[in-house]
Amino acid sequence: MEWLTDPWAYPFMQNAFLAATLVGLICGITGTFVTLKGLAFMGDALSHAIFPGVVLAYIVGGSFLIWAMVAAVIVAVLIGVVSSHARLNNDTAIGVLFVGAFAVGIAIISTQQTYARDLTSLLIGSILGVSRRDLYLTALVGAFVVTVILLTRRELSAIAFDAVFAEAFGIRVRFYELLFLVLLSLTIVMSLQTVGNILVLALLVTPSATARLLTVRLPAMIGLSAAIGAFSGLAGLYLSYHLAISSGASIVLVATGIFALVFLFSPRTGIITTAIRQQRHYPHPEHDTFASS
Amino acid sequence: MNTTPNGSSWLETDSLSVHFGDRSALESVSLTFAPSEIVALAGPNGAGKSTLLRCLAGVLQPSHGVVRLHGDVIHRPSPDVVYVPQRTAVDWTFPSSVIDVVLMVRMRRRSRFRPYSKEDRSLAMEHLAIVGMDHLANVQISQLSGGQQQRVFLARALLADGSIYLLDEPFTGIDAPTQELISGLLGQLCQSGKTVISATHDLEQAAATSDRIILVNRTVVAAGPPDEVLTAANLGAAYGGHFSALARLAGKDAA
Ligand SMILES: Nc1ncnc2c1ncn2[C@@H]1O[C@H](COP(=O)(O)OP(=O)(O)OP(=O)(O)O)[C@@H](O)[C@H]1O
Ligand SMILES: [Mg+2]
Repeated sequence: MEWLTDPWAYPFMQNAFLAATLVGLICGITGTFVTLKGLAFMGDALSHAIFPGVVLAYIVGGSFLIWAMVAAVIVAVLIGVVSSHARLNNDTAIGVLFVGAFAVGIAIISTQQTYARDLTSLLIGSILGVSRRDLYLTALVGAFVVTVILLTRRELSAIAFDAVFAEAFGIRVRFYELLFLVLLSLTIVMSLQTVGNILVLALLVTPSATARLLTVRLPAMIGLSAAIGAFSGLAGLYLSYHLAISSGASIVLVATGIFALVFLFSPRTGIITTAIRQQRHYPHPEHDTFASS
Repeated sequence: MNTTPNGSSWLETDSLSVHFGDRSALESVSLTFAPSEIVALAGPNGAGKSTLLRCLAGVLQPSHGVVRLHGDVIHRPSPDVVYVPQRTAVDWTFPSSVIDVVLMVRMRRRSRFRPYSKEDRSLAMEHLAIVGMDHLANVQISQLSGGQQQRVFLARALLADGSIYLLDEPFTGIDAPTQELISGLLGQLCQSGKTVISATHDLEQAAATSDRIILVNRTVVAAGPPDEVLTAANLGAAYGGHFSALARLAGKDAA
């Protein structure tokens, strides 16, 4: 029991626990559509594309969250515009723009003297530095993202299921795709302080991929993904506290561990469970009915 | 504008042309469609059948000319036009069951703040029953055969309830009972006052089940009742004369 209650004695740990659970939950929900729409590369790109915004926040001053969001939204819109060109597919547009944006950040930062420390916290997060104010902002942005996703769930899933149908049905496909990219950018920026921009992709993709293995219903997938994300945040932070390892890494490792367990042992789709079931059903391959024909 | 009052202009194209880059897929196509008719679009591969249907559906903007629906030029898809494309971009791994797919078309009638109602679900089940798929309502969509998938998309189209149905090759890759089922349903749609326009490669079937056949090959080669359109001269003009069934079909007409 003390193992569970100990860390809560410190106010900064309380903030950290709340932030980690919240970020896990929200990434789990946004991540469901990242997985369904095959946007993992896009998520990765956006988490890097905000770099120039972060750099500018350090240099010019002002809210790091706002600068990062501005950078992410600009890059998301540019990717949408470039990939609408008939000869370039989405992945190509992402590749061109995210490295370009990253380079802008590096160019700006190379004019500065003291950036090593700030850079590390951007890459792996600094969850123990989360203040009450940061927490409120995270909750606010998160509530906004989740509300919009839930209200547009039918359009988003119709587009992910069958974009040709969605368009013919009169859904404004490009509008909703852009809207989702903006929501994804907000989710990523909101998660930066907690897990850092390298690991945020894992929170977007891993819980939803795990949920996908467990269910064939979309509402259940969203719920499971949110629950796995929140649990990973909470459990990961305990691990990090007790084993003294980086919090971002331990959160992601919990999520990855759950994925591995489900991948191997889930009742319906686990590869080991399936193999055992097949053994039971076909114990004697020499009696195969096709062999006699 | 030459729009006639009160619905007498149902659906029409006015010198419609579509260019992809410097290639032209359709050239000055002017057609009119009336309520309660079944029209077949025929022509060789690459003739522009799908392109024409996409213009009528409002998902493709013509390079020149216009499509008018009930007298108004359309610039985007209308709820009154139900389009079932030739190739869908369906993600078969998507976590949804057969009934979820059919329910999609109730989206417009249901507030985004509410889940689908009992009424939505029972309507979806009714339409699945029409195509004989109600017993598979809760099956994951990826577990269906191609023909079963086609039936589900047809149920969804029926539930969408437009006044114009555009179907791109609904009979391709489908067994005889399903073909019969689909053409029976299309006949019923037509009887209830709807227009059904489908692209097809099966001229015999088109001749047997359509009120009108439109032969296209970049332009309209011929349009009218099957026995007037399916002549050796027209088929030769549309298919370029290398069509072994030409003689047979034209012969049957003459007989
Ligand atoms: N998106 C596109 N970009 C470029 N060219 C296109 C596009 N869609 C169609 N085309 C061209 O337009 C022409 C007509 O194509 P369309 O798909 O309408 O033919 P179709 O009559 O439906 O043929 P099929 O019987 O093979 O389905 C073809 O030459 C095709 O190459
Ligand atoms: Mg076609």
